[in-house]
Amino acid sequence: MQNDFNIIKNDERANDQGEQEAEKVKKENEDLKDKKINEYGQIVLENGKRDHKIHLLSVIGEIEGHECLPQHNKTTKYEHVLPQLAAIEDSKEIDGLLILINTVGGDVEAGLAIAEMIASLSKPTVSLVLGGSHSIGVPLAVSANYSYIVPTATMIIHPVRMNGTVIGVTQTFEYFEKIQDRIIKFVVDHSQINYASFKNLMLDTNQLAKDVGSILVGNETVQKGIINEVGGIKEALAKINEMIDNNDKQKEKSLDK
Amino acid sequence: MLYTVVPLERIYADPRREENNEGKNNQKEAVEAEYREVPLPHGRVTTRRDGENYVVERINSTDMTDYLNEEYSPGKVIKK
Repeated sequence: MQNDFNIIKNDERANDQGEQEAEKVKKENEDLKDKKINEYGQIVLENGKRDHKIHLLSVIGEIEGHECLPQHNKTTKYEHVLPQLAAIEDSKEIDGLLILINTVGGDVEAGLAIAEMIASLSKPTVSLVLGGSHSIGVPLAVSANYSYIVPTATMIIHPVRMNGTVIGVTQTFEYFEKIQDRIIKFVVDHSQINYASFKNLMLDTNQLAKDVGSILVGNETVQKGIINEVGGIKEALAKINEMIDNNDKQKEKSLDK
Repeated sequence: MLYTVVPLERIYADPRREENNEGKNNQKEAVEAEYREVPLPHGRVTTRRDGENYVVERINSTDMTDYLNEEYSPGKVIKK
C-alpha cells in the first residue's frame, strides 16, 4: 500500500516537472520574441504565410425568383444566397469570396439582387465562369472585383423576353426596354464594355439562327471587355489571395500613419 | 420575369404531370420523398428521409471545408 502511494507520488512529481519545463521553454521563446521585436523591430510569422479564410458561393442552374420553379429544375435560390452574402460581409473571420458560376440565367430581379450584393461587398471577390453563364448570369459574372472564365465556357447575351399574355401596346415595349436597360447598365458599370457594344451583342442578328443575340466563347468575352481574364481555379485562388494581401498591407499602412 | 436561355416551356413543363396524363405515374407519386434541412453555420444540408433515418442528399454552404467534411457528404446517414 505504502509502495503504491509512493509510485503515484513519484509519477505526479515527474508530471509536474514535465509541465514546468514546457512552461519554461515557452516563456524563453516568448522572451526571445519580445527581445527581437524590441531590438530589431522585426517579427517572424508563425507559419511563414498567413492562411486566408476564403468562402465559396456556387451559382448553379436557374436563378429562382419569387416564383418557385417546378422540381425538375436545378435552381439557386435568392432566399439562400442573400443571407449568406450578408453573413460573409458581417463576419470578421472571412477574408474573401470566390464565386463559381455555371448558370443558364433566370429571374431578372433575383439575379440583379445577388449581383448587387456581391458588387457591394467590402471584401475582395473573384468570380470564375465554368461551363456557361448566360442571360442574367452575365451581370453575376461581372459583379465580382475580378472575373475569370475558363477557355471552354460560354456566355449567351440575348434580349429579354416574356411569356404569357402580353398587351400589344408601346408601353409594353418601353417596359421591356427598361428591364433590359437595368441589366445592360449593371454590366457596363462593372466591366470594361460600353453600352453600345453590349446592346449590339444583345441584338446581333448574325449568330443565333432563330433568334437574336450572341454566343461568346472563353477568350471572346475577354476581348469584348466583359470578363477580366481567361483562367481556371488556380488563377482565381491566386488572385483572391493577392487581393487579400494587398488589402492587409493597405490596412497596415493606414495604421502606421 | 425570367431572363434565361432555357425555353420557358421546358422550365414550366412538369415531366411527372405528363406521365400522369398517360396513366403510368401512380407509383412515382407514392414514393414522394420527405426532406428535412439541417442548418450549418454557413449554409445547410438537405436530407431525405429513409425509414427511421435521414440520408444526406445535398449540401449548400459557403464554407469550403464543409464540402470536405465526411459527415456532410451525400449518401451519409444521419441518425434521427
